[in-house]
Order: sequence, then C-alpha cells, then structure tokens
Amino acid sequence: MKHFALILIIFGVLWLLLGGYYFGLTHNPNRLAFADYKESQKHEQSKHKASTPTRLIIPAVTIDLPIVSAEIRNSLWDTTNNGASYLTSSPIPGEKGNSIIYGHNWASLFGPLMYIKPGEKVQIIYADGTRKTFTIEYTSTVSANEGSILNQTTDKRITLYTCAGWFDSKRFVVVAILDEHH
Amino acid sequence: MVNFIYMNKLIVTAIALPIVFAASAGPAFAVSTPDFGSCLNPKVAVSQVNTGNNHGVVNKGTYAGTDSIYRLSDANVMQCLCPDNGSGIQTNWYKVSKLSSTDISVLKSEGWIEVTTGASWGLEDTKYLAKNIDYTCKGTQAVSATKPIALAKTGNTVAIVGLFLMGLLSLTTGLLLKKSK
Repeated sequence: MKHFALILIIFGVLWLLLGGYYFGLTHNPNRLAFADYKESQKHEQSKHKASTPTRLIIPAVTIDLPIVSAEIRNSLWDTTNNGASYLTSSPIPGEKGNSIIYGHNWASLFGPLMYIKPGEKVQIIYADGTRKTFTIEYTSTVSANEGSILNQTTDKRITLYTCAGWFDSKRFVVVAILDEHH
Repeated sequence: MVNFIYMNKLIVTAIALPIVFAASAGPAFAVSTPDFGSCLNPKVAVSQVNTGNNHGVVNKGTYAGTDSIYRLSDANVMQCLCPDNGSGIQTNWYKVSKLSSTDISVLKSEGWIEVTTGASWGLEDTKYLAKNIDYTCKGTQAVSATKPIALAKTGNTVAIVGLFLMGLLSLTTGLLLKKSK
C-alpha cells in the first residue's frame, strides 16, 4: 500500500508538471508563428497613417476586434492578447497582395473563426474611418510549416489565421478576397 | 537496504514509464514527402481548370464542381476540387516510381493511398501515392450548417484542466494513503 501511495504521488507530480508545461506552451507568444515564413517577402506598402487598419469585424461569427500592428523580430512573431495582429511587412488590407492578420484562438479573440464559412463577409475599418469588405473564399486547417499560404498573390486578399489542432500544432486559415465594388 | 533499493527502482520506473510512453508516440520511421502547398494559395499557376459533373477524387467518388490542376513538377501534381456544395478536397499526387516498397508502406500508414497507375486519373502510366485533404471553398450552393473542420477551440483548455485535476487527485490520494499508514 505504501508503494502504491508513492506511485500515486509521483504520477500526481508528473501530471501537474505536464499540465504546467502545456499551459506554458499555450501562452508562448511565438506559438502563432509559421515556421518557414520568409521575411524576404516583405512588401513595400503605402505609409499613409490614414490607411492603417484599426478594426476587424466579422458579423457572421460576432468577431469585432481592434487591429494591432505586428512585426517579426529575430524570428519571433509579435502577438497581442487584446485583438488581432496585423503583420506590417505584408500589404495593407485592400492593396494588391496578401495581407496577413492573426490572433489567438481564445473565445474573446479568433476562437469563433473556426465556425466561419465561405461566402461570409469580413470588414476592415481604417484609421480615417473608411471601411473595406472582403468575401471569404476558402478555409482550411494546415500544418504549422505550411508558410506558403502567406506567400504574396496577384489578387487583393487577406489571410486570417489562428491556432488549431492538438495543442495548437496546426493553423486554421481563412482567405478572403476584396469586394472590388466597395 | 533491500527495501531502499526496491524503492529507488520503483521511483525510477514511475518516472521512466511516462517518458518512454511519450517518446514512443512518434512515428517509428519518417519518409519525407514533397511540399505540395495548399489550395488556399497555390505555389504555381493553374495548368488546367475543368468544370462539369464528373470529377473523380481517389477513394472518394465523383463530384460536380470546378477541378483545378497545379503541376508542381514533373512528378507532383496538386488537384483542387471545389464541388458545388463547397466541401473542397485537395488531392496531392506524388509519383513514387523510385520509392522503395518499405517507404511506400510507411507513407500508406500515414494516410497516403496507393494508385497503381495514374493513367486513369489523367497522369502518367506509373505508380502514384495520393492524399486527400479537406478544405472549404465557395461552391455554387451555400455550405450547410457551419461545422468546424479543426478541433474545438476549447480542446487545449479541457486537456490542461484534465491534467491538473488528475495530478491533484493522484497527489491527494497518494498523500492520504501515506498518512493513513
């Protein structure tokens, strides 16, 4: 019985340590990164402050978040707990190319993104109060090494993504194309 | 003294078992496969677009919709099928004529499907492996009830809380049993 008690204690401590390790992983600021994304794809974008994206709205899944500018510094991706991160090395949403916006998969942030479907709308509001609408074209769950989804394109698209899968090992990706009539 | 050695063995075993279990969870062999990319943002320009009612998907059936073909190299092809209902299927076609049967077996265990000849799929008359990956696209019909194709967003939280609860329960029970002696 004494040995059984000792085994229970040891396993208890191990499970607590494992839980703590995974808890730490989910709060690792770099877990939203794509491993093979190449910074050489940096995009020359317009520097007008008025065209800075400030808010992201997806009515179908009640996402309404401030947009925070983000950069990749020494392979570490900026993340925020207070909104969606917009990678400033990608084009401003609505300009030609692939604009990259990402966020944690928490219920208060990009968690509801997984319930979105093609045909639904994404709105981006800019610093000058203007708004552009995008229509969702594709969604998919890809590996964290599938950096090609962030490659630049000849159309005007935004790529939204968040973590998915077992302990955030994958990325749930949403691609939306600008409604040109707006 | 004997009891002390026995206890040490017990502790080492208790610590080693979960580590061995965790280490054994990975695949025994690894065969690298080409990087096909994703239908969401293909790496190359489309080489062929077919519309109509009779697009075959290996091991799935035939669908009506738009079938886009991307030739990544002489050996590898990515097929992006967007059926009318929007439940898209990406099929990665990997020409494996130079791969050993052991490697093919390993890839088959990872979900690749062996296709004896690609001829009936518009490819070369040689052996291929194919892998289907789901995605959603804008079909001509609206996608029905929204269902996430990834794990629920609470999945990690449940697992972490479960580990903490199991740990606390095990630790408490162990301490109580030890005290009761």
